[in-house]
Amino acid sequence: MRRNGRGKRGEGHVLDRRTFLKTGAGIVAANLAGTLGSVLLRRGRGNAAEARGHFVQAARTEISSLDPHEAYTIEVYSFTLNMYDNLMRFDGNPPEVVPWLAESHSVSGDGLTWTFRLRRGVKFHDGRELTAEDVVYSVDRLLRLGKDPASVFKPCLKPGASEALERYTVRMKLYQPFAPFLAILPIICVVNKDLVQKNEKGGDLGAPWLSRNDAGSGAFKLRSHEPAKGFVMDRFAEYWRGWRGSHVQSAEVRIIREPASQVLNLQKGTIHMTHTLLPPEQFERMETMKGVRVTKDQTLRTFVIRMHNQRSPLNDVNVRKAIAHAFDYDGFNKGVMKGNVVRNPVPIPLNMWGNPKNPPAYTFDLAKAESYLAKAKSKITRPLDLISLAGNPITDQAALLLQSNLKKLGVEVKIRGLTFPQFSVAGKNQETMGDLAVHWVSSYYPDPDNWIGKMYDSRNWGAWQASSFYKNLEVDNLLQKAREVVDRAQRQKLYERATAIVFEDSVDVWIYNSTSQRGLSDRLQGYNFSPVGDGLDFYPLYFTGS
Amino acid sequence: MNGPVAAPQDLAGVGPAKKLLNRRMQRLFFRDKLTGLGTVLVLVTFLSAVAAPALSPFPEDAYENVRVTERLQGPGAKHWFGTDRMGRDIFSRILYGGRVTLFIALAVTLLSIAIGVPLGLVAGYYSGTIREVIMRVADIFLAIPRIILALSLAAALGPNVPNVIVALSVSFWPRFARIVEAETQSLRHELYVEASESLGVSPLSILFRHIFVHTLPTIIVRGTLGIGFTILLAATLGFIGVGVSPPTPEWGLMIAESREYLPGTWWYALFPGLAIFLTVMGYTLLGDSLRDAMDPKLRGIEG
Repeated sequence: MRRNGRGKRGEGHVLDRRTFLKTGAGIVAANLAGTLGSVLLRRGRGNAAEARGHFVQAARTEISSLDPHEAYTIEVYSFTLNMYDNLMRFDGNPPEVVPWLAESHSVSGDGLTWTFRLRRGVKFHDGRELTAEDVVYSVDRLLRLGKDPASVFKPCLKPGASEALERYTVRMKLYQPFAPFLAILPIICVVNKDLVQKNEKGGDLGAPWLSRNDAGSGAFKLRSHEPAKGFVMDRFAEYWRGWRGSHVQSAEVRIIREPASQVLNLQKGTIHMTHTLLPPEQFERMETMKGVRVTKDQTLRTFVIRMHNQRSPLNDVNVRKAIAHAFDYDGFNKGVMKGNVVRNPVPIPLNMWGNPKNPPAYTFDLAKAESYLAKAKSKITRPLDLISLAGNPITDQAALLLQSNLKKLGVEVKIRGLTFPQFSVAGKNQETMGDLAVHWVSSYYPDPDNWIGKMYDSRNWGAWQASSFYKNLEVDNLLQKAREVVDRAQRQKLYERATAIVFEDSVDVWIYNSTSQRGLSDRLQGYNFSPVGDGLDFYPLYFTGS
Repeated sequence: MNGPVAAPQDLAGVGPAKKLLNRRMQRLFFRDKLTGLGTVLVLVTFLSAVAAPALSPFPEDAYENVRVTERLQGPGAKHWFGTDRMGRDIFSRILYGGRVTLFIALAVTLLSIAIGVPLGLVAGYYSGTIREVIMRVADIFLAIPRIILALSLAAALGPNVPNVIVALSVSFWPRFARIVEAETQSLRHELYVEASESLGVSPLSILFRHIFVHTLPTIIVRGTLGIGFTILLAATLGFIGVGVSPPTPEWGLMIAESREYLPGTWWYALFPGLAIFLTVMGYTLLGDSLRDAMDPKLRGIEG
């Protein structure tokens, strides 16, 4: 009995090893065949899709909600600009506010009462005409939901302060003057009141429904949406801008996490536009490829390392100055970012107004850093907790660079990876915010207030943009005054003064202002870059030579 | 009663078994080329990890050092395996990565043995409630795929080396408990065990001297194979991003970092990948051969 058993086991074991090797070889072969097959097949499919005018843009992160009043990141523009319309919009670079759904507007002498005349004949995707009632509902819905976009309106507008005077006239009453009001208006997307209300459940403002559906009037209407895969939109035939000339037929935002896969897909023609936040090395590769071009546009997206100004040891200005002098700005901007960025030593982007003529700058100087550390009252006795955006090579490399240089000063740094959604929650609270955090500050509205106002006004604590938890009454007053005064020259002076104080307090480590790069298919035309919305308006796009 | 007291030793046949094992091991090790390869791989990876500070051309690159002017260079005379995204020497980082990886793998295996084996012995020896409780708890852990359990634990605990060890051990100990329990069950009715019992030898002594000793070959085989799989799992956790945190030189993490720059920087992914491949293969081959050599149930089929 036993002997037999042993014999079988022996055989089985020999087979095990052989099967293992065979299966391994089989898997490798199958993978190769699969990849080859898909390359060959997809090439054909890509062209067929192009012939149908189907445009595909690659995204890197999940788009979990399509509710235009909920999210507030650069990713949302891929659906807000295409499925929805706004009273005003931005166009060009540098961006200018242009009339959109509102053909004209007027403002009272005190800057508080705004009246908008709407364009007639604009249709929602269900065929109903867009009227003043929809605008009023949309403004109130955005404010009542109280998500990130609502925080922008906090300093000027309350729910119920908008009313429809007639079918095509809307009036909004601000509770205090807000100079950049026109610049924040494009954040409001107008939704179909009747449709959303029909899908409301127990006062949820239709949020669960709208996160998966479309209630807009934009150039494209939603065909399908899967958070982990992306979404597909079709042309809306009755779109008010019309479809004369060349346009794509349908548009898709497809989630492709790996940069290498995005580049490969672009090369094959299965996608026509890559994401903008890829490592510079991938753009260099694309520049050498046939059938692909790389766009480079000066944008308004600063890169900063935030410091927790309320928590020891970073509540000591000398410690913060030491850290500001310990970051290798040139090494990072030229070495890691390959010179594709511009040094921006202050909070407001240098290509925006509001900065002093010759902005001051902290330099990489470890000797200075050391002397500041010596001057500091609080000694660093524990490792600093640095939040980097998980898996993002650019924030990771900035984190590693700072860690390396602080180590030379005897300061330990522990790097913690959080996804951006996780960080945007952690950064709202003093307890959960790290000692340091690396991220970008994009332009949601091109006004100095978008940067210095959101980041360093202590009244904005609780928004991730204010994650430094900086508090200075003089700065608070300057920033508030700059919101109330309409005169640009006066505002310029206020921002210069606030910038000087914030710089002297070394609140954060200000590193660079981005260049927005994108890999585009040579056959794709009509790419219209705007620093607000990042060129994601798909309406002007079309294909040539297919 | 004096004579029989010494008898269990002989009854257990430990003496002859040892000789037989040694002879068989020698033959197998020299006969089987794959065994040789496995042994060499295990020795090379182990020694290079131990001697990493001496062998690395750039030991400072293992942790915080960066060289922004030498980023992503291909293999060459200065950097044999090229440099990574921070300009660090990949060869040095692989050597130091071996320390991290092998430390995790050995710690996990030893910890799992330390938890699983005693529980398995107790469960196998005592039937009834004790056995039921231990084995059902083990079953609960076994019911969840190891990678899923380790992943969720590591994600919940946070990324660092001790947490990875805990996460992987929690998912590994029941395997030892299972095997040892099964072996103990069959051994506890062997004649020499029953003889010792009837002579009043304490259960602890029986468990250790007569049963544990016999389960050792199985434990060693399982442990050696387990080191290989644990290396793979640790690398997987690092790759997914719930393992160790940067700048720790961990092989899986290095491959994860390289993805951003592929396929331009092939060396960045290839060399850490080879390191994982060769180490895991080494332990798997060695474990296989040890099973051939040590499994008492295989005794007698030679020739």
